[in-house]
Amino acid sequence: MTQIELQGISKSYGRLAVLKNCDLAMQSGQLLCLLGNNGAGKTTFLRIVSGLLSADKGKLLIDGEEWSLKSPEWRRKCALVAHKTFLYQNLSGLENMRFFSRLYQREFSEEELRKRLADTGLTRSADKQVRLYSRGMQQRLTLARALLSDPDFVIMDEPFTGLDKDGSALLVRMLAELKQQGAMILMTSHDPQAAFAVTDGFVRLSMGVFGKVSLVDGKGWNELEPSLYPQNTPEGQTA
Amino acid sequence: MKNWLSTLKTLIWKDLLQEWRSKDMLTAMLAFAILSIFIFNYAMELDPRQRAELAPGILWVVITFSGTLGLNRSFVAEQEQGSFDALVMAVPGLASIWFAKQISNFLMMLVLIVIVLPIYSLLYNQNLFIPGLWLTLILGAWSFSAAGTLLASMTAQTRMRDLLLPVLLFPILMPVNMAVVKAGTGIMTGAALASYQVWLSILLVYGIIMTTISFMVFDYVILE
Repeated sequence: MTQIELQGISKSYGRLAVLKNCDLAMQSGQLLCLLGNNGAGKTTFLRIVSGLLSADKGKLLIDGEEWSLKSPEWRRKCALVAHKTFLYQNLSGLENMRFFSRLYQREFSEEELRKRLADTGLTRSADKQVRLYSRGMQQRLTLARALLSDPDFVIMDEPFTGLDKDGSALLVRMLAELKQQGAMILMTSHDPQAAFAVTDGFVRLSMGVFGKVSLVDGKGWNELEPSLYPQNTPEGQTA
Repeated sequence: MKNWLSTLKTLIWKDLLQEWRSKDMLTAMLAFAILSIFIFNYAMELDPRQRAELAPGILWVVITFSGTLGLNRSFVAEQEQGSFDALVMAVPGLASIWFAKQISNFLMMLVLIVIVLPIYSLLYNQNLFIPGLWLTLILGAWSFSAAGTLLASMTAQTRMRDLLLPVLLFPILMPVNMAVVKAGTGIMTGAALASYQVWLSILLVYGIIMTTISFMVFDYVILE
């Protein structure tokens, strides 16, 4: 059982403090959903965690041992699904998969890559260039691409965006499988109820500070909502 | 090292395949280069001696200006869908991203040179198939792509990249521009090697220094 801790993550853009001493702990097989209004700093936090953006302050501990958030070893343990698809539009779905698998030094056979595409419902589009894919198909391919490295830590920024009902169900199924395999998943969502089926807990980022983690533990959304959105916190202040 | 080379090969394969399918860079570069050569041809009435003296200068202006258009487009695929982030997360060493892009850009410059020189040769009725001249242009293209790729990776993230890249690049390339033109003129006019050897050395050293610096600072440029 691996545990990671992010301690005191802070980030400012000029005078604007976006993140103030944010702490978060997660363990293998856990999925946390990060909530927050537009501009709350969720994406900034995810980019810092994935090693793409430098934090002003803060550290990462894996099983108590300190790691650099900017080290290639950490970045290669992570997978990121963001607003943009990260796909090459003039390459086919299969070529994109082959390209990224080679970068991760994982030589999958063509059959294996096709199987992974088939698992995301892209069997017939595997050889088409990605620019011919719909947004939802690109999102499915993005998921398949992100999981090529069998990551320990999966970071997802609004992964339900662009997915139809089947696509959302597929994503929920994939998340459940990832959890079973022991991956940690940190995702943001404007629609927490969409991820409710697989989420272990919610944490809200407001005014640059993380609230307390609210674990689901069999509770319904109606029971959790008051602790995540206390009535005395005006929504307008959180942006 | 083996992994690093394999990553490099994969990245170059991706760049070349993308370019082969989109022809984004080459179309812009070639259209500009060929038009420029035609304009120079009509604008200047030159006798054979002047042609030999001016050919390296005209050619280098055409090649660098066209090359800048190409550099501006070299990170478009990465910018469009944010795939640069995916590359940063996937590769073991970030310098491989820069080096692969630099080699791809250099190969585009070579294609440009291979197409432009015969056209120029035909229009000006001048023999440009001189190994020394080709070597000078190739060394110049290497330095150009080494400095240009690093700057393009920085300006690609700005809104004014089309303007910013040439403004930053051309001052840095001053030694290269001078060296290519001086060495090229020496070669074309049949001067003794000793008279332009120093310019060839400058080209070589500049290429090595710029490649080394880019290797060293690319991580910082990308992550900071």
